[in-house]
Amino acid sequence: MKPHHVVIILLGIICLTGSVSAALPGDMNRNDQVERTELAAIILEAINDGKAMQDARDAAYIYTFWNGTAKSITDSSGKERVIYRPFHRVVVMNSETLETMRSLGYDTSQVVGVDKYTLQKHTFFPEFTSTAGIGSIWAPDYEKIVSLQPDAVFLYATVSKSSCDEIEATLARSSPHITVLRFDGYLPESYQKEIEVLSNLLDCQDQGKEFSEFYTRNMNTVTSRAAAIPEDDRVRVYFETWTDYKSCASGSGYDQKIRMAGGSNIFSSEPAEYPEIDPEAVLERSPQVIIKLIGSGRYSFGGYEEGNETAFQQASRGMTSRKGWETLEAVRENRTYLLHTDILGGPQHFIGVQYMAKWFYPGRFADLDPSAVHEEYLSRYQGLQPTVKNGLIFVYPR
Amino acid sequence: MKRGHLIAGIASILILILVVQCVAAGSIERSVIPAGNSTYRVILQLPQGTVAGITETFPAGIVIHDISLNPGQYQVNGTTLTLAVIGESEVSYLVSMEPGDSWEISGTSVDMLTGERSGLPGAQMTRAGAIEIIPTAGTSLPLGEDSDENSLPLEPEVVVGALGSMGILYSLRRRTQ
Repeated sequence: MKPHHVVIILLGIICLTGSVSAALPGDMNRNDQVERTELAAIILEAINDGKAMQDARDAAYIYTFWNGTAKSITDSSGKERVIYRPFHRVVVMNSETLETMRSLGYDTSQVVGVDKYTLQKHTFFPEFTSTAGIGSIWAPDYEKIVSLQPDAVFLYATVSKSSCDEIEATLARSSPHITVLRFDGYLPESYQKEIEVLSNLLDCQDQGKEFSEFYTRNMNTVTSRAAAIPEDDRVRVYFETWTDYKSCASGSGYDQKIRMAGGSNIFSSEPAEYPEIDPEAVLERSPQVIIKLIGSGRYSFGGYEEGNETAFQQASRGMTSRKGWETLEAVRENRTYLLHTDILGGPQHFIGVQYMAKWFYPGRFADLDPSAVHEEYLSRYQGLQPTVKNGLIFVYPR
Repeated sequence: MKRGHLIAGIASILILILVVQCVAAGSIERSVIPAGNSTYRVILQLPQGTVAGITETFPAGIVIHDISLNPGQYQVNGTTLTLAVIGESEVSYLVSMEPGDSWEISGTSVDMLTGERSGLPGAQMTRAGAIEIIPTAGTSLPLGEDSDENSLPLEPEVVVGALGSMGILYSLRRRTQ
């Protein structure tokens, strides 16, 4: 056994001794129901003896808001999770779920630990700059996680699945009282459902409903019109990730978003989800629109943390001046675009999808104003000033 | 009966009949009304959906009885009454004492949903027999005192009752002259 495993187990034991068993607080007869008489008894005990005040408060919460019973949800990993008391301390290891929590109006002061990537996003997550860092899903700091004594830890459901599975298994062994919950927070096919489940889980039903309507409205305004475009009439799109000549294929989130916006991904049928592309193949398939995703690797600029127009100009020139690209319709027609992952890869994909729809079909989607939608999202759902994006660049040309 | 005794007696009765109310911090209101034989009904009115633990403290010698909650929702320990309020809009109980005793009730509340701890308006009976409500700020605010922004709202029936009693007193005084 490695030394850090011993530390984790010891921390887990310490936490267990100070925490509660998997039972409803105040449920003295163990019938899985906080009854009125039980709540009265635990309130009187807390007031008279000063004992178990947190148990009494949790029992009052469960009695009032959960109809006296445990809460059961099925997360995006497909597992049923039973919640026996409201969360007071949570660790969030994926920023997409954290962003969604903010959209739902969740009290983020209860977030006691975040991953290192969230800590780097000073502009977008200013309230977490001094929150404890717990590493990342690829290099989790277990000792830190356990020492924060969280009630719940949030992980990805399907992204980096093996890493997250391992984290869940390790926590289950060392700290079984910690509830692990798994959500992706960025996939269009599951995001609507995740909003609903998270709203229920975090008791944010009112704002959750409002945000769900906002999200659906902004997605549907594109997908309902794009769905009517026949396959043969769809714009041919070459989508490139931040690695040159690396594209996306069927099964990937990017391919799905291209289709939602009415495009036809020229590499959709490649066997790999993120295939390496032969440069000649791009010329052969003659895309009408080219989209380059930026925000990572050699293209780590733009988005919420930096407004570097020169870098965008250079990247755009570098792309259009590739060998043979002057012959491409997309280049000749000036239909090459840079799109930042901040508004396509995460929960803000509905903004990126709107931009793509406008680029694919300027006339059909002339009424869309993704920049205004972006500002509304920041101010209404993220608690940020819409001016936070002044001077920042998310798409190019603007 | 001498005129002074008559006036003082009637005045005491009328003052006691008046419902004394105070809006407390946390919107819990306290009322105290006479219930006969040196017994008073203390009423706490609570905002909708309140789940709270309330502690009421009394001087020694006071007997607390006829509590409106179910037996499992309160405890009496010496001079302290603890109430577990679970959604009730009103809780009341009787306090009895020896005739002529003065008394004072103070209370605190812990909102079990928000965790907020707050004082409740207190109540006291002065030696003159008047009931005063003590706002949570600690300043005694007797019934009928000039109001300021923290003053007690007088219900119409209270005003009517007071005016009526003044009329009766005036009439009695005229008759005894």
